[in-house]
Amino acid sequence: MTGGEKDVHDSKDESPQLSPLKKESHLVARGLFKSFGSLEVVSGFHHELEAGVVTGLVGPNGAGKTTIFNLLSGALKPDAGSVWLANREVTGKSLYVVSRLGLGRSFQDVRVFPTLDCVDNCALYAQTVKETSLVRTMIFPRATRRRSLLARQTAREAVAFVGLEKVASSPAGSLSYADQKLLAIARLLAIGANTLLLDEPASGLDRRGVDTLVGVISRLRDEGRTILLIEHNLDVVRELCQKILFLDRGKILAEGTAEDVFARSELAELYFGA
Amino acid sequence: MRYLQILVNGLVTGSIYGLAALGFNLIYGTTKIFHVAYGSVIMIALYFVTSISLSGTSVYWAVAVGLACSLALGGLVYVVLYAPLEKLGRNRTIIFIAALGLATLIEAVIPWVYGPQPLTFNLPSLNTVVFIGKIAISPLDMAAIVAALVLSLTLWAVIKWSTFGRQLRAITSNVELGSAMGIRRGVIVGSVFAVGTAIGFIGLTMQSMSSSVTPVVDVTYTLIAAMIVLGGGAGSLVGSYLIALAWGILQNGVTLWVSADWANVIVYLAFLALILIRPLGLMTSTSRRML
Amino acid sequence: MIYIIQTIVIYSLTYSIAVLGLSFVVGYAQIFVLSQAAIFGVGSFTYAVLAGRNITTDLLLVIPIAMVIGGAMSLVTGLPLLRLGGDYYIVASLAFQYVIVQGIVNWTSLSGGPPGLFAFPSPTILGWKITSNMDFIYVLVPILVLALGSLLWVRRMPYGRALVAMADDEVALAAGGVKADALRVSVFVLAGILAAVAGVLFTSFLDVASPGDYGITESILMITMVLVGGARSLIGPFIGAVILASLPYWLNLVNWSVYMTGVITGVLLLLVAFFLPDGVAGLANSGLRRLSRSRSKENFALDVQNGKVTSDDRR
Repeated sequence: MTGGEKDVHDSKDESPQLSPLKKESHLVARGLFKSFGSLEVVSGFHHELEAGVVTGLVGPNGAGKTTIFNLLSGALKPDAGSVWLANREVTGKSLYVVSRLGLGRSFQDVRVFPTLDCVDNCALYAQTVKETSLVRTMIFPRATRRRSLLARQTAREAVAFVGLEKVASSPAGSLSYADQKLLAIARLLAIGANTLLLDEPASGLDRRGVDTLVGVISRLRDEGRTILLIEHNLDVVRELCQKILFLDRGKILAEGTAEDVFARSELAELYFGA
Repeated sequence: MRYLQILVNGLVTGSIYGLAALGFNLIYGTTKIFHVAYGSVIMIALYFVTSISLSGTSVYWAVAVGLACSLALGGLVYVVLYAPLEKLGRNRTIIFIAALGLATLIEAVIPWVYGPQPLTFNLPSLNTVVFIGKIAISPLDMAAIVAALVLSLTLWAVIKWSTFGRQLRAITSNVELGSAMGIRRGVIVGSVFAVGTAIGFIGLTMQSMSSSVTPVVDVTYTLIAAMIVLGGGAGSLVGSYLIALAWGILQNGVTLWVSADWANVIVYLAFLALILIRPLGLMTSTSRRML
Repeated sequence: MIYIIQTIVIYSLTYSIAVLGLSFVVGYAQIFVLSQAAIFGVGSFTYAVLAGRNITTDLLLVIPIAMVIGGAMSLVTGLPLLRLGGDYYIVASLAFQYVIVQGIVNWTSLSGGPPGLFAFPSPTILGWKITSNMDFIYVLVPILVLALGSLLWVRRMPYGRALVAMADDEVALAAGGVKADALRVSVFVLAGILAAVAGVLFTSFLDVASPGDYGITESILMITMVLVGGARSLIGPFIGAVILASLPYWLNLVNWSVYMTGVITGVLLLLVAFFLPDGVAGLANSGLRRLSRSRSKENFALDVQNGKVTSDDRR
């Protein structure tokens, strides 16, 4: 899906499918606008996300955070503006296209495939268009099988990266909430996403779950991936994010480090007050 | 003059289909339930009526009985089939499957009981052709046009202005409110099913008065009703009425200019084309309200 | 007596082939297909025309040709319609069912009109004439095994994984880079191809191609076979096909009215809906609660706008 062949010979410390990361920013949003009916939810969202940095997207409820995620990932088409991924314009392209180009998106309601086990959940994300095609499966059975095994191998590595080896063969539907959230991230690794949009990954997790999560995301950041994070848990935000975007009513009100942003009293008021 | 005749014939056919669609639309627009057993239930009432009238009772009396019958059966189907399934939490597809099962069951039982031969329900008096100007039309035809128009308008008015209509619209647009209303909702929905079935009954009765009744009309009746409703924009009374008339006119036109065999094929294809161009039907209100 | 059993076996196996593909479509793509009988009929008439006009009776030729025609018809009907959701699709597939069959009937030069065609030369394979019932069964079983085997294998491959995932959650599937639309169409075409093959076998054995056999009732019958057996298994529908295809014969033996087929079909559907939504095979698989949502594109967009994908509270 990212175009190249999967490299199976990764060392255990690296995550699977790391394609060469560029130094300049991966994900760029230019002047995004989106209205639902007469309600303008996103008003001129403009930002360049940097690689190797976790950027936090915070703001009160209804600020438009998830809508921005939808716009960036292709689940929604913007009314105006553009989205660029690794210097390619992806504005208006569907979710499945953008995912293939290396943008991974997690959902607030997790959305693992309950019927498939952990490895298959990730293998699905790891597999490319070629082996998924029915025609190719029938015409090139051996090649398809080979690719399928490769995908499963990648999947197993992703599962291991987030620490879910013990439950790797259990159906995802039977996993605990925390494990499902980790699985969701493992999937994004399996697909080889260098740019990650994580929607409230810590919500609903207990202390231990949060710690594991923070560990995983930190490792991903240190590998040079670009990460945009929506999170209400401010401890997580402070720990992980090098940069914060404060969003309200579809506009970025402030940018900066967590201390800078939350030091501004009017923002704190907006966030906590009313 | 031929064109005018076709137009009039089309209006007649369209009116009958309009009645079919009106009843189906009432149910579908309100409850979103695809009542695939619609035609079958109506057919029970119709067969009952036909057998009564054959044994000598006055036709009008028989029809009245049939009307009452269809009201009762309509409500009964909701109470016995749809309501329990909803309560069991079955999804739409499963509910559809159940209704399909019921329809299949009825369609097998009726010929078993009444035999497979067509029943004639012909009333010479209603079918004698009268000439208005150069147009041939029968009292039955006129009755059909009037019935469709009157019932559509009445229903429209009831939904728009009456208390019942208000409650109905409330249930339609807000599912949570609907379930919060409990038994009340059940009564309203049951009435909707009853009335919808009765309206459909009128349509099918009129159709069978000019031709004969076979045990397989139910599927086609339901299918055409559904196509018209979906083509017109689910829930929209105006939409389905217009589409029904267009349907009738097109069908008659094609029968005349091409052949009767191809009439249905072409009309169905027209429907498919419509659905592809306007996937939500002709008149779509995004809030899916009635009207 | 043996003759009857052989006939029952042949009916069952033939219908099984048609139904296997259908179970994939209904179970994984979750499309309620009510036009399968029409494609079955297309396969039938392919044999009827090719054999009846003495063009060829060789199954090794007729079957591939039927596969192509059946697949093409499925593609043509599937591509536009699968974009529609739920009810619209059901109605559209019924409309297509009618159009295809009536179209065949109207094409009288090809199909012989409403009565259909009959009395064809026996099918052959590379010159070997298949005349007796046992011969036919010897041909039928390997084909069925091949079909079943292919589907089982495909299900274990990435394609199958994508199918299961699609049934679970289409949005997450898209986030995984898979286009659900294309997937749906491909399953649909697969089912159509198998239905056409079954049609060829059916008519070559039965010697009749009568349009009345390929109507809505038969489509409903096929769906029932799938649902009773359990849409997500392959063995289940096979059992369903065996039971229901042989039903008329059992009824005959017990001297019950032929209408009982319809009654039993109806009752089975009702039972499935009320008690066994997962079918018989579902009993074996119970333990996994699956979320059931309607899988239309319309709903995807609504999901996105109304809160399933959006986390912001806009109420």
